Amino acid sequence: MPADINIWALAGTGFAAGLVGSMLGVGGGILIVPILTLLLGVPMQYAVGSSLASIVINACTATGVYIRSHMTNLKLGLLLSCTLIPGAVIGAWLAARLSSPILSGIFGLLLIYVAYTLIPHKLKRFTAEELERQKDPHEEEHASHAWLDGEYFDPAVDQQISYGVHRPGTGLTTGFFAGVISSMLGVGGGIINVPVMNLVMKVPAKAAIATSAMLLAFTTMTGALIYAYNGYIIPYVIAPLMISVFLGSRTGATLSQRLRSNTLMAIFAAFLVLTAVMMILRAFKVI
Amino acid sequence: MENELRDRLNRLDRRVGLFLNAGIILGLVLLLAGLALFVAKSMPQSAPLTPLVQLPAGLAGLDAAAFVTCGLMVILLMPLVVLITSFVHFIMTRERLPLIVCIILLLMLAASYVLLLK
Repeated sequence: MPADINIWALAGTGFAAGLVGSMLGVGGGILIVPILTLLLGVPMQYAVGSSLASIVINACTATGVYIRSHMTNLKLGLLLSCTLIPGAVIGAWLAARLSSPILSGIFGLLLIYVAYTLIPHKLKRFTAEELERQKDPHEEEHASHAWLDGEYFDPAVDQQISYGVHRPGTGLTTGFFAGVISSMLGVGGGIINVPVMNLVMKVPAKAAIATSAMLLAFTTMTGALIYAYNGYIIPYVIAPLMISVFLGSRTGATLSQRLRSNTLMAIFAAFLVLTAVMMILRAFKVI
Repeated sequence: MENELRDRLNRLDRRVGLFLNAGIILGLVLLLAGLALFVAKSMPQSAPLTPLVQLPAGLAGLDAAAFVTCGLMVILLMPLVVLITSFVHFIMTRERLPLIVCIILLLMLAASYVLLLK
């Protein structure tokens, strides 16, 4: 660990991560890890551990809000956690055995993927007819997992939305890999979970995002506890980070209603590509 | 969805939301206290997390690392509170499949931590 880390630099990092993460719906980890490693000189494993712990508070806050508005599909979240948690354990185990340059390289590649997903083209909006057709009780394939079906009130359309959950097996499989990546690199698995739940499992976007926050809480909790046990979480680093991530995400949630998200996403995607290049160059010891 | 089932799920959502909020506030207060102690007492930046057995003594002695460790643990255990609340709820409502999922998750978490401690 570097001998002297400025507490305000840590607080600023956490606040920026919480703010941007909340405004763009991405985990703060994709900002925390590069800033801690590239700017503050924190070794990769310490940065990942701190990032995971910071995401827990963000995910728990979001889960609390979503659950009270009944958007989280609790049963689906619990089911998918059955593969996410072993994935998170394996991810943390792998991270402890891989060198910092290799982790930096993998992280750089992941950032490029996240930048791609920020291009607005991804989540599908289902019409009321499509949702109803998906829930058809005569559909034999769906009947076996009808207990996962959910509903919530969407104030945007002033309507109660009911939906069926499809292909839980695919969700369980991808959940495992989301757990590995999340725990290994200190990022939220939402970048994988949300598109899979929405596009493959036919869960409406709002419910997918809400359920993903709960999944994120489980994955990052498991990963963070393992990093803490291995000594990769330092109290002096984690305290200002967690507090400022919390404050940043609260501010971001308010600001996001006033700003144009497309412009913000384009700027952030460009920033991510630049950071990715730096992380990959670092992996090859060029910088 | 039947009204009774919907009411049950709403009750569970409210309980889980309440526990999460309370836990986050408690965790944040402990983290803030720890941070204030770090600054006030000019403690070493590299101090590690306090082992769980030494937490009570650390808290009594106003040790910054102990307060941060305690706050961190409270927040990290919040998802577990969600799981346990759901588990109790599904026992009371006798929903078999979600209950089985909760049991699998609890066993899985327990196994992970036992393996970790080895």
